[in-house]
Amino acid sequence: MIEKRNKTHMEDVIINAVQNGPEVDPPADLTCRIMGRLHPKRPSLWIRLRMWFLRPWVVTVRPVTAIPAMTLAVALLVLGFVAVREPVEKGAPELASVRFVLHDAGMHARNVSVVGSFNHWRAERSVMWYSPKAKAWILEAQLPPGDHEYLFLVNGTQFVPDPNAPMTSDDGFGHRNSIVFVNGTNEQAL
Amino acid sequence: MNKRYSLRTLALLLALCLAFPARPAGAGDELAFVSERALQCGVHSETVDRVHAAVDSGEIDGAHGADLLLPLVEACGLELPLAPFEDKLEEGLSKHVRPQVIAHALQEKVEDYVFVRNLLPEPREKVDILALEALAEGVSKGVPREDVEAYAAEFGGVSVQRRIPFLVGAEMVSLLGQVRFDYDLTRTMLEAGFASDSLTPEWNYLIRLVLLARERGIKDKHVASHAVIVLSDRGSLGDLYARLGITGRSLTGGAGSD
Repeated sequence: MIEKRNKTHMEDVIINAVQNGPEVDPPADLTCRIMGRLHPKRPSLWIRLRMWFLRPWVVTVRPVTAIPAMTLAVALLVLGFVAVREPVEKGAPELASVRFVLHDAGMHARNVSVVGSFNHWRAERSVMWYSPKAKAWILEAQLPPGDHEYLFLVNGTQFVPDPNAPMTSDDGFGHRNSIVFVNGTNEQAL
Repeated sequence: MNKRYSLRTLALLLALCLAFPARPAGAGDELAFVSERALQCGVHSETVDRVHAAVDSGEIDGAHGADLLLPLVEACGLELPLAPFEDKLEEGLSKHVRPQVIAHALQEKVEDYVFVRNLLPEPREKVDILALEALAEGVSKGVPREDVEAYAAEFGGVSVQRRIPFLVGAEMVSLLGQVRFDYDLTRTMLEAGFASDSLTPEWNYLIRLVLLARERGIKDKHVASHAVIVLSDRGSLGDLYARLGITGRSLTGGAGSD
């Protein structure tokens, strides 16, 4: 009990001395010395990352280099977009080259087209050209695998089956269509 | 009496005058209505436009235009694939076939598709469209219905587990049937192919070999017996060509070329 009282008394003496003592200015270099003794604290990874994202950057560019760089970047973006789109189209069957030939030694026909299931039976989509060397009307077409029905349309009015077609089938209207078999990358089987 | 006669004549003339413009207007409405339904069903707009173009050009009248689209609407309602019907309609218009004949052909095609779909074991929504198309197109081009029925009855059970062999078999039945290849012979090949699991997609083109063999005087029975051996050995279609002595030169050449 006496010890506690003495301690309280001592504290009062110190407080009184501090309050009534003369004020002395701190040394001029106190701040520098204190700061000099402080070691920098390394911030956490999260704080550093946050600061990196939030700190503004100043980028200096020259138009002579920036314009080609921007052009290149845009070109790469476009190419990348096309490349990403291509796999979607790969779901479509691979097309095979098919050569349609109608012999016409005297070039009696004025024009010939191929109409068929592959072009919605539209003559204007598959117009043949005349080869004087082969003495025949010729058309190279790209068709998906499978069997395709077709006919030659001569002079825009006359439907003619292919005399060299391996097979014909009933068209349901009382006539027959020629059939071409397309297998993989080549026409016909194998 | 004269007055009564005149009134009757006037009434008749009036009725005639009203009747003539009434038909095209009604037909136009019907075409517009059916076209709308067809488009809602998913019929390709190009097909519908083509019917309208034929009507606009005066090649067919509006009522017939509606008749052409009705089977497609019916096919849609029956959940059949629409592409074969669109193709047949466009084929008919391109060939300037009379609209009544086109409509009849389309209606028969709908019946053929329904017939085949009812043979397949899967429920309607799970039917393999490619197998359905292969068999139904065969029927519409003259393959006997009983052949397709026999194929579906004997091998239809495997279609769920082995989709590709069943599809290849369907193509074989359809194409060989169109050239009057005896189904009993086709069946022996299918049996060997299913038993040895060797019906790969290249066998779709067995038809080409059969036609080449016929050109060379090789009997269908001979082709079938060799095909059974090759399929049982899990061989390829190329092996069958070799067994029959048909060389690579015979396999090339195309539509109209050789």
